[in-house]
Amino acid sequence: MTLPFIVAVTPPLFGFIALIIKDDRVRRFIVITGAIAQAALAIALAVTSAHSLPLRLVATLPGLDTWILGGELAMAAFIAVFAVVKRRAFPLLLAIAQAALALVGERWTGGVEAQAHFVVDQVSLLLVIIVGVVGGLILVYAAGYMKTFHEEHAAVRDRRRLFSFTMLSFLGAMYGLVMSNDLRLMLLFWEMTTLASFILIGYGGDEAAEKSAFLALNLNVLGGLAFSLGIILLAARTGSVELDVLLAAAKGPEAALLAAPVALMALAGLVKSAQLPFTPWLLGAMVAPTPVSALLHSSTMVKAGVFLLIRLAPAMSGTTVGYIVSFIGILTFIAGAFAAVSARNAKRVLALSTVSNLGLIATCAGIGTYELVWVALFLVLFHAVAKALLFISVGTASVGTGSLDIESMGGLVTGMPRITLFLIVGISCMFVAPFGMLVSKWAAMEAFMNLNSIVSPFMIAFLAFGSATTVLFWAKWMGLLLRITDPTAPRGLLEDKVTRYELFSEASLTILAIATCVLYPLVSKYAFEPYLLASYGKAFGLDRSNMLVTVLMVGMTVAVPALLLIISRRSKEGLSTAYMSGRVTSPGLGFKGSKGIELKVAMHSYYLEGPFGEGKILKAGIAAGILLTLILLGTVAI
Amino acid sequence: MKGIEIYVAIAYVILGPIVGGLLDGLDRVITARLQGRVGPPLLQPFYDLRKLLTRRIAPVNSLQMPLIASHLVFAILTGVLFFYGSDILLIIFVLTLASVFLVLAAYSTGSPYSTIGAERELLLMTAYEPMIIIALVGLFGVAKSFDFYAILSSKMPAYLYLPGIYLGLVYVLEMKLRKSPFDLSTSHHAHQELVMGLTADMGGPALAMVELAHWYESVYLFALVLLFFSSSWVSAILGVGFTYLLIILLDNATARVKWELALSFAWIVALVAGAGNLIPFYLISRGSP
Amino acid sequence: MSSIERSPWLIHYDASSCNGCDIEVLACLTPVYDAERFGCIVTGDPKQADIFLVTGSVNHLNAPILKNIYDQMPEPKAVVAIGACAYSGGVFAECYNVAGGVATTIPVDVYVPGCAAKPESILDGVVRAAMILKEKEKAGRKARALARKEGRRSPKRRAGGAT
Repeated sequence: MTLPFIVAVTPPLFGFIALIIKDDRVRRFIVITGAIAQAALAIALAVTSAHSLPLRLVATLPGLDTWILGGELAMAAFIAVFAVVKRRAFPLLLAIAQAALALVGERWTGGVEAQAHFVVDQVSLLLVIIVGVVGGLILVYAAGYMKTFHEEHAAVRDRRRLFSFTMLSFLGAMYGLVMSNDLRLMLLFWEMTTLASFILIGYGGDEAAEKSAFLALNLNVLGGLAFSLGIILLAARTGSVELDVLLAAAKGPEAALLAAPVALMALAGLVKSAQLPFTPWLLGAMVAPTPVSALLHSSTMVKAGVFLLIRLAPAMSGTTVGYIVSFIGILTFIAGAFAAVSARNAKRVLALSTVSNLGLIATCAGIGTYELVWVALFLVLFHAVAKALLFISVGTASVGTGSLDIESMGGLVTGMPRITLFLIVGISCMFVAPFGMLVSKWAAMEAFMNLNSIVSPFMIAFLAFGSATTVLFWAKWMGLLLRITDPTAPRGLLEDKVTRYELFSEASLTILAIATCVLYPLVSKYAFEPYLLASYGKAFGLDRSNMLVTVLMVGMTVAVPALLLIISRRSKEGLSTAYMSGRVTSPGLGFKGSKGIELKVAMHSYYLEGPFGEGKILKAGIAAGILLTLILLGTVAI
Repeated sequence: MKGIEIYVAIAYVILGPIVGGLLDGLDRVITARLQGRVGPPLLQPFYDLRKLLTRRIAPVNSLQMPLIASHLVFAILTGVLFFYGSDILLIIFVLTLASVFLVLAAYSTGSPYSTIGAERELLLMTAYEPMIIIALVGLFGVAKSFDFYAILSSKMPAYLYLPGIYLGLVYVLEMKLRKSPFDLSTSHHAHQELVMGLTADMGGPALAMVELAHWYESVYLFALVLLFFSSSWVSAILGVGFTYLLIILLDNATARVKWELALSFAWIVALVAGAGNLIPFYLISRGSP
Repeated sequence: MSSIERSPWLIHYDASSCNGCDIEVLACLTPVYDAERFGCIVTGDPKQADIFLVTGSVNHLNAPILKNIYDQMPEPKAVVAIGACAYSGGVFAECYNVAGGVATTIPVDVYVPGCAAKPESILDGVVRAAMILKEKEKAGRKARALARKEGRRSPKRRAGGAT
């Protein structure tokens, strides 16, 4: 019994206990204990193994092959049963294909002995910590949120036991996935996350939820088929099913043989990370309750996709497959950013922004130089923390305002000052220097500049346009939150339904978000640079003085406005009223119209449907994405 | 440790507003002469600033003043980093931070005029940012550095290699300096359909801080222009002087455009003049390292 | 020289005039009269303005607006009433909806005569208002100093009457 094994098994264990406990309060206690325990174990794993990386572990289970095959078939059967019950033909076909592929593939992959079934290195640990800490905090949040959710949505059947079980198992599958070196095991965990997300997206039980759940299932099982095919090809061509063997071989003379399996696995990664043309499944997934969205977008599921791409980066670097992946990535980056401008639903804006950022990670992984992999790793870290914070805060805000429309969050600073603070920190982390995402984008530009390749000026131009657009929709949202139409109104009136679990998670993630921006040079020095040195022979970090500048800036960006706010609070000066063309206004910007009728000022933001219409941008993006995917499949055929 | 850069950065903090204010004053005199007027005295911006600082007016809410003051602090900080020789690409992103504070201050007032002004300012930021990034990348291509002093001392006639990028930069500087035809978000003149737009409801010291930040900003924006002409003293003076006059001329000779045009034209300029210059330049310079 | 005298920023409100005086106010900005010589800027925002130019007579509907714009201007401030209507209601004085001149609603510092008022005299009125502002500023400073000496908070002053 080693620590990595304990880490992976703990969440599902607590999940099983949660599944059998009927009493809400006891179960909540179990779930929160489980969340904290697995986070602590994840951190313990990172701390204890930091000096002996990479850890190579061999599973001693006899008949591992049979177990894996059994797991695959069981999941295929599960999907098949669901497909039959819900009368859907396509998932049934996919389930049959999955089972058939698993059985047929056994011929090549069956007898292969792995040298190490699990390898834990810095990248695994990054993901382990993200899954443990961010995922754990989302579980704590869910304990509070789901109670309110069921009070507000009486029509939804209360299946919280299944919910807790699936959420916890999801984390367990993620642990397994990020530590796997044997690709057959990785595929098994991969399919588990697909299944878990299927159950969670469909939680609402209505038609929309069912549709979205099956869309996610279809696309991800399709991606899983590509993964499975990739493994079979790899085994047939090289006689190995191990990731580290694959990466080592990619530098050798056998590289040409590996192009097809790498392309197929990259395709699986693209599907899971919701790149174009597979984006719709993630956009559809926002029908799920907020904790599910937070989990899918930040620490699990999509991160599994980019994790695989980053893992494959050394094999993709400089190859046709790598360039195609990076083009799909940059296309997704820019399409996601553009489409987010015209989105009004808060969760949809967050979803599109996730898609966009994942696109950037895919771009970096596809080009795959050591500098860009450094960027990709930081994007994963910063994005996980900030996006989790944003999703759960939006969830809380939507309970207060009764709507997910961004417009309804106008002036939230009065009604929900604490939630507004959380949201503002989250939004800042997404788009403005010196916070994480922008520092990464800046590093990406510098890396492209040093790349000395034909693609770099194009990539820089795309990055410039995409990142300029993100300013538009994030700053607009931030401005809306801070709009004060009645400075004398009592504050915090909408916060009475907020549970302490939600506040705890949000506050912790806020602190974490700022901490990652401050401590990232240390993460770079002690985790990412050794990793890059080990796998690329070169280490990369931003110039130390520049890192120092960004860290100092983070401090100033937090301290200056806070300090000024405190100073201005002290002055006892009164407030004046806003200029309304001379009209005398009542609090909340009401005024008497021409016939003496009391009117209120109504303001709406720009959504720029003309240039940035979400529908047409996604349509064009999906068309281009399909084309690029076909080219990717073309390289496999050749 | 850096040597002279620290002194330049300190000098910038002290002298920045003087240079910026003089640039503003000269602008107003030249504009008046172009229109056949006498115009205000050269030092008029300083008179205005002094007066604004003595005016006593209550803010609209408790967030307004801290946000505007943050805008000023970060505008100064941007310039300090610039003249300290930090990475100019990073600095442009910090500049966005300063602008975001101003936009948030405008949003917070809740008045419809400042809200629309804030949104238009965001549109303008979206419009000019790609071109500025492309310009910096172009300069990096010429001098192989993102350090202000390194580019300056490389003595490369960047305007010869990057004519399209230079013109594109002048185009977006009209936006950044809030000049016509892009004075959509706010304007010094009362012929604005938005009253004062972005700066509506900012009276006295609040407006003084916005003005001061604007002066600080204009100094390093012109220093950015200087980088295109750093090959000799003569070309530096002629180049920056020409750019300054060109911007004033365009300000006086054009009518305000609609936001759709501002955005799409700026992006087209960034694509055609910016990327259209950058990509061939990059490919050629890659061939001869 | 006082700072306020060197940069008197204006706000212009048309109460209910025939537009004659308004056109003359705008004429002040043209190259021929060039109000910017004196550092004048016409702003649209009362919070940035020092001198309030009012044309036309005050009616019952716009009196609260006039008063509100005046209230939104920072202290010290000066009001210039331009033309006959702004003085007494002019030819509209007998109308059922007209309250009278500007002074019925807010205190006026300078009256500019004429129907319509000439740009030269409007400019003259602005310059006189700027001088009055300087005096008000000085008085205000003295009052505040006195208040400090007496250890009290400065009293909220309302602008004085007409000159």
